[in-house]
Amino acid sequence: MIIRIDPASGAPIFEQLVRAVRSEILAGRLASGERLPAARDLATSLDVNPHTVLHAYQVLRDEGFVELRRGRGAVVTHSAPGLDEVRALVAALAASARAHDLAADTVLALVREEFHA
Amino acid sequence: MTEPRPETSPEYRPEPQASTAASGPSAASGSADRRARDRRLVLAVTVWVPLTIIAVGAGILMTWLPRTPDPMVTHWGADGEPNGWMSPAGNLIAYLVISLGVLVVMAGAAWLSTRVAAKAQAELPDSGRPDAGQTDTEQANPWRSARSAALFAPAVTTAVTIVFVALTGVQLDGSEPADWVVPVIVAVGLGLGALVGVVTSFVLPAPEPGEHTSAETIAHALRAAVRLAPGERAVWTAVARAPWPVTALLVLALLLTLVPVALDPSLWAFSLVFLVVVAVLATTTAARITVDTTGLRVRTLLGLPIGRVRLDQVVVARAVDVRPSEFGGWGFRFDARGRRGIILRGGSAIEIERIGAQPFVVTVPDAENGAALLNGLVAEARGTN
Repeated sequence: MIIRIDPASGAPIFEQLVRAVRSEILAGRLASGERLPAARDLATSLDVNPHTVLHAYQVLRDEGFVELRRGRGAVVTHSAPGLDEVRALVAALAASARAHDLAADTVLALVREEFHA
Repeated sequence: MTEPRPETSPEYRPEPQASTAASGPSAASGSADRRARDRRLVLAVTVWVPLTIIAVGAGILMTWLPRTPDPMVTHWGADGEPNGWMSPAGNLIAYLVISLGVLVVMAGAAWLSTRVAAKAQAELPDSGRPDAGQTDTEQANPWRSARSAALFAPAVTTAVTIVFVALTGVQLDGSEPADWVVPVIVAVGLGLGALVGVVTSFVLPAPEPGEHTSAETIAHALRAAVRLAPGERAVWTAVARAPWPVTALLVLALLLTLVPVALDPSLWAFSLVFLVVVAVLATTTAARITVDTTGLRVRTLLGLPIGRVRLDQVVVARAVDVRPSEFGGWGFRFDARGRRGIILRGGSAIEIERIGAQPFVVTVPDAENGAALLNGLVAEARGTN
């Protein structure tokens, strides 16, 4: 898996880490049972604070993507509960947006609006 | 006697060119011959030679049975004083169990690597590979992949046999060996075993030559490089695992290391040596490969570094397909072209051309992305410096 961090992008670094790992899992490139690199190693490689990596791993755990085990680090779990159902709804949403010629950004803005309402 | 003798007439002169052409076998039958010869060699090295050594060792121990003291000493303390005893028959049985156990593991490993190589070859047709060159027109020979597994069979059998026979021999008719004799015998046994290993490595068929790097594949690798924005940081990481039969064989070998010490606690030294060898092998069944601004690193899952290429040593990285047979098996490998490899399985691998060193190959899933990031990091480092 590739993780890219851009300090100039404005998004917090832990958020960028979460996004990178999450999209690897959602795309199936990180299989269930696979171990994520040790937080210390990943922090060294990316020249960030180890606590930032641990923070990202904790967010991923709270979202149900990884399990944190003492001594074994972060292990990818089967998938977040209910993910398959939501994935099917997203596919339907995308199909509907395409049918009505709505831009992806418009749809994403709607989704964000819905969550912040 | 006026008739000219046929031998002297020019028409009857032998034609050297025609005779050599007739004796040279066709390329196809030459390849089949070589394969059959390699098969016989591997069988001889993994089965017949160790069996012969074991038969000789067991024969000597058996003819000595009447002259061997009962109980005989089978273990000496650090001070050279005997502190373990066994009956001569028990000694003979321990010898047979250990040596035959080693034979089964080594022959099994050789057979397994041959099977896996043959299977990998069937799944990887030569025509499907990007730059199949002259060397690939001939079918790869799976018997050559048994090389690493077969290498240790006669060596270990020799060492075990020498130690058993010599330690029994010095006690014949009740004589007691001097303090220094036992360590010397063990050292000689290990030394001669190592020597047999070296001889075996010359006898065994050489590993297959690999494919050639072409300028086009390098250019392609560079075009696919990850382009990083200024200030952007990136890391690529993946875990490579050996296929399960390799792991299963190592577990079996680990259990077998305990057989000698279970039979006779005095054989702890054997168990310890085997245990260390197997444990070192076991650390390479899985590894994490990481690419970042320092270059590429290979570490076992316990964190032990087993390979690295610094970023400033990298010329270009590319994703390739390798077969364990190209490198003659699993683990730390060299192939016929001198590529250094950490080979955990067949399939995708990152190959790195290095400055002032032979290419480095490590098998890993997702090799395309790893090579692309390494090339991107190299380009960035060269561009900004």
